[in-house]
Amino acid sequence: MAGSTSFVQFEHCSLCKINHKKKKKHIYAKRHQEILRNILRKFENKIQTAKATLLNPEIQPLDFEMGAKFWCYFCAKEVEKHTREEFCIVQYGGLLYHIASDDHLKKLLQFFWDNIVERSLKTKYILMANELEIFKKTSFLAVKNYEKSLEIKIKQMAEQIHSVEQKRHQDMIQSMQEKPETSLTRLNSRMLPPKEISIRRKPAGKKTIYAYGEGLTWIQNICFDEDKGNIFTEATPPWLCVDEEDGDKQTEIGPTMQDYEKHLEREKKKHLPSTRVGAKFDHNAETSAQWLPSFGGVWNRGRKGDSCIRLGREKKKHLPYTRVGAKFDHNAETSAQWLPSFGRVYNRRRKGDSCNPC
Amino acid sequence: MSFLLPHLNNKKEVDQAIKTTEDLVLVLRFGRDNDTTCLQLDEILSKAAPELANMAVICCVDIDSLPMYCQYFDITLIPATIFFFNAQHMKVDWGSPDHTKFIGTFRTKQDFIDVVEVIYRGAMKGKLMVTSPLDPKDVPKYDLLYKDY
Repeated sequence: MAGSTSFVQFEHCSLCKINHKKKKKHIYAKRHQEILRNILRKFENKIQTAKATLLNPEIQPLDFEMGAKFWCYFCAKEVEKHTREEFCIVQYGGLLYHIASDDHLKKLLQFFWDNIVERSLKTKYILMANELEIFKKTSFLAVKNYEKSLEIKIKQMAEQIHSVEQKRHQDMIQSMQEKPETSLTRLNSRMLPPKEISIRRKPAGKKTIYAYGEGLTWIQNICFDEDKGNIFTEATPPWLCVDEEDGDKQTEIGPTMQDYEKHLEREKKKHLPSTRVGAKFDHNAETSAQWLPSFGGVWNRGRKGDSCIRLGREKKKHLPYTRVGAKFDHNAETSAQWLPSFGRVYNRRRKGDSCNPC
Repeated sequence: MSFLLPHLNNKKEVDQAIKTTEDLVLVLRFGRDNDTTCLQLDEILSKAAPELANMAVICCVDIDSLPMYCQYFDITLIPATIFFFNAQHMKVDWGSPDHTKFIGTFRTKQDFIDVVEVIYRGAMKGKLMVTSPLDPKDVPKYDLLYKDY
């Protein structure tokens, strides 16, 4: 008969984060006590700072410490640090609400019991109901004040935008009124000093005045027309400018008749098979005097045998995909019992023959 | 070797080439046929032209006959190679002061083919500016002095 052996279960201490089998004695360990002291001090500091805002809650904008949480050592869980209102965040709101809850008190007493902490310290880590009421009232007022100030700020910004808009509008009207005057002044340019006439907006651009590169020829662009500009001034490119010679032609808007005819031709050709002989031949292309119709790839490149093989491959490509045996894989391995397929009719007859040997 | 490449002699021809080249990279070489560096570049272009037939059209333009284009593209050093795709000027980041054109000659034919391929692929994806595939060592060095006006 086996003697009764004491089997001691390991326990896990969440503070020291170790497994031990010292049972209750573990809490008197030096290390455990030190950790406990540290935790209590740290948590007390945190709660003190939060309690300091009881009468004077701090309101922060919505993006303040988004999703910040704190670890409650007594409840062993993460709790929201702040509370979120519609337009703002009440700092330490979540923490204060948590430490005022009954659940927290229950867990705190359990923690104190387990770790043998003086019960008189309890008040440091909880919030009384009347204190919470005070906090509720003060935070409500603070939120209201904050919303009011926010509204005033938005109104001020709106006013500023409105005034800028108005000023811009006035300037525009003023410049519109001034335009005919300037044209008059140009007419009387001889009468006015030259400085006043030359008030003209120049396009902000740049041009190369000197360039050097080894082995490269430098060309000086003498006749530079500033009005036309260049690629750096985002001027209209020459190929999009209207030519003086064929200016009349360019006045037509939209596609020309030629373009339309081309389009019709293309549409007609869409119905024809794209693989037909000479589908890609451009009939409008100019040909030289030495031009001869193409003979395919026979004599162009490589030996004659190669081109035969290639032509054979191309022919196969054009065969319909539904042809007999098109899907048959010629390289696939077959079993010993494999026979070529006879189709349905012959199969059935053969089966019947085997059933009635007469 | 420029006789192997088509020449565009006046503005109308250049306009036509730019406007009518569809879905192909149009390479315009601005320069002079008798310039030493232009001769080097022309040799590369003429060799690459048949190989790039499905991707690019390469033409030579004499700068003396086209002052308007010279001004527009601010051409001060020749040869200057400019790329277009569907009447749209293509910019390439060469790592040099000017990304609107390639100045000088390419080192090898393959360099030019690589550039055209990058531009073609970029343009097909709708990019107006592509990054040069060339080693910066192979891009000719030059200095430009700009002046605002």
